Amino acid sequence: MKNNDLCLPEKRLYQPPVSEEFMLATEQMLCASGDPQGFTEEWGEIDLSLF
Amino acid sequence: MKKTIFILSAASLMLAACTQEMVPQEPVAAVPGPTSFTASVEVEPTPKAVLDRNGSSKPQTFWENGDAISIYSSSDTDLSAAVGHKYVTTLGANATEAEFVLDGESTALPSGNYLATYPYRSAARGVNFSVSPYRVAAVDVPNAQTLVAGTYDKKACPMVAFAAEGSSAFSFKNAAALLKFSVSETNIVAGRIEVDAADKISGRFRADVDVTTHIPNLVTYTGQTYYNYINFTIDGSAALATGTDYYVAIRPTVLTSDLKIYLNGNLVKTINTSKLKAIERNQIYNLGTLSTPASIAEKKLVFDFTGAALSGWPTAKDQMSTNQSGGLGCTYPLYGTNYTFTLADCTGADGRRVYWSETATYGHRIVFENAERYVGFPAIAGYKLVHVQCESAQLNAASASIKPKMGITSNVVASGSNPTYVTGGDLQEWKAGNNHESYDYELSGTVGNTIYYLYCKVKGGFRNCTLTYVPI
Repeated sequence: MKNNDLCLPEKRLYQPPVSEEFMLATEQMLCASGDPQGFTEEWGEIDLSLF
Repeated sequence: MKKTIFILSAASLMLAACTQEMVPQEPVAAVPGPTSFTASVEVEPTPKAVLDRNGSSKPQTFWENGDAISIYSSSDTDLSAAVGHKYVTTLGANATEAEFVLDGESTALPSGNYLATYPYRSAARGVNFSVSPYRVAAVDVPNAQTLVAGTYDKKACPMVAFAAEGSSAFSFKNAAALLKFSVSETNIVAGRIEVDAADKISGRFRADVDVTTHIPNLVTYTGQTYYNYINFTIDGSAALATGTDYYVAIRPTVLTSDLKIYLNGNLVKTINTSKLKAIERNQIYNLGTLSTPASIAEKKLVFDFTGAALSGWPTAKDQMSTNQSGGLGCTYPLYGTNYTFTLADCTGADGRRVYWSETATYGHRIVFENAERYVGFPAIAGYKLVHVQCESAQLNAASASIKPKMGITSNVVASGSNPTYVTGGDLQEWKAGNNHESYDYELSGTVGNTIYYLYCKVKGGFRNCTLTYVPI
């Protein structure tokens, strides 16, 4: 497999929004024969400290 | 400055390496200029932890150097028990995106649709691309977790991703939720999260992955062991640092009961189901700063026998020299208090067969090598025993098909006689095998400062016990 670091140049140059739509769109990007790129998910936060 | 150099370097590489198959780039005007980039470096000079804030100030998991994932292809043979293809990342600094390279020891990944898991699983696991939702077997949320100051144990918090054939982009989705808290006292070394027995918050689950959203849902499935609790300690048995955030991974589920948090065995917080009806995937629940109340409403003491035997405990048969009457007292120090267990045989026993055993196959655990043996639980002044939970362990290879029978009694009697069972402590038949199943005894009618016994009617073993005491 070849190094395809540059298949997603826009992601290298700025922090993209991490919406659900973006994550789905990212999955659909085609970088044929590229090494796998792993992206993590943004966590939500719920405050229970008052209970 | 280093970041600027990297950008220039990346831009140079782009010019040199772009090919016809590349995704078209955005216009240059859409890319932030180098000035703002330099500023971002200045405000974020420190390395990212496993869990940190991203550029949008939202918590996000960061990959670390050496992180490994499992990737399964729909073209893999024998997906009912597939060893995933191991991919490893090499990173100079933690990042929310990373490139993974096939590990040299792993076989090539055939083209197809892909499912990926983190952490990497070296054992063969079932994966099914032919159903909707897709299925990934054996996704673990451990019932014993080691806390990490300021972040969380990523390996206790699984992630799952799907990628269609032709794509190499894996958007990992968190399969679990996180409970976040800090402590105010300097002596906290362990704790526990617990819900009602019906709610399974840890164990080995199956991730059902939605075929459209690719969101995983952890479900129970046949043949696995599940728990209504999570015990946690901190690495090195040190105390938790005050004012520092800690995180426990928990399986998302609807709750039918209050969620209780214990520190050093003491109940410190209860969250009612009216406030927390369900634990949702991909959420961090902030429990705030936890403190031990002046009046302790409940003690839940976890005695773990999976380590080396403590001083004074028998480690082989016939080491109990005074067992016939009164039993042998064995000390178990926990959170600064010495608790006494009482090992006993029935009167007239032909051997002294209760001990803290170790074998290569089954590890450390307490075994009843013969029937009609007893382990007396600690008596605590001012408190009475109201609940016993034991996690089973196999006695030995020869007993693989034997189903132990255990109950809770208030006395030790002669061989062939029936001891007095505590209300709620009637004999339960445990599963055969080394399955580490939990068994609960909800007791009533007990009194304070009194020994009650785990009585073995049919031989077996256990590797930990969790004892709940309330004030008398």
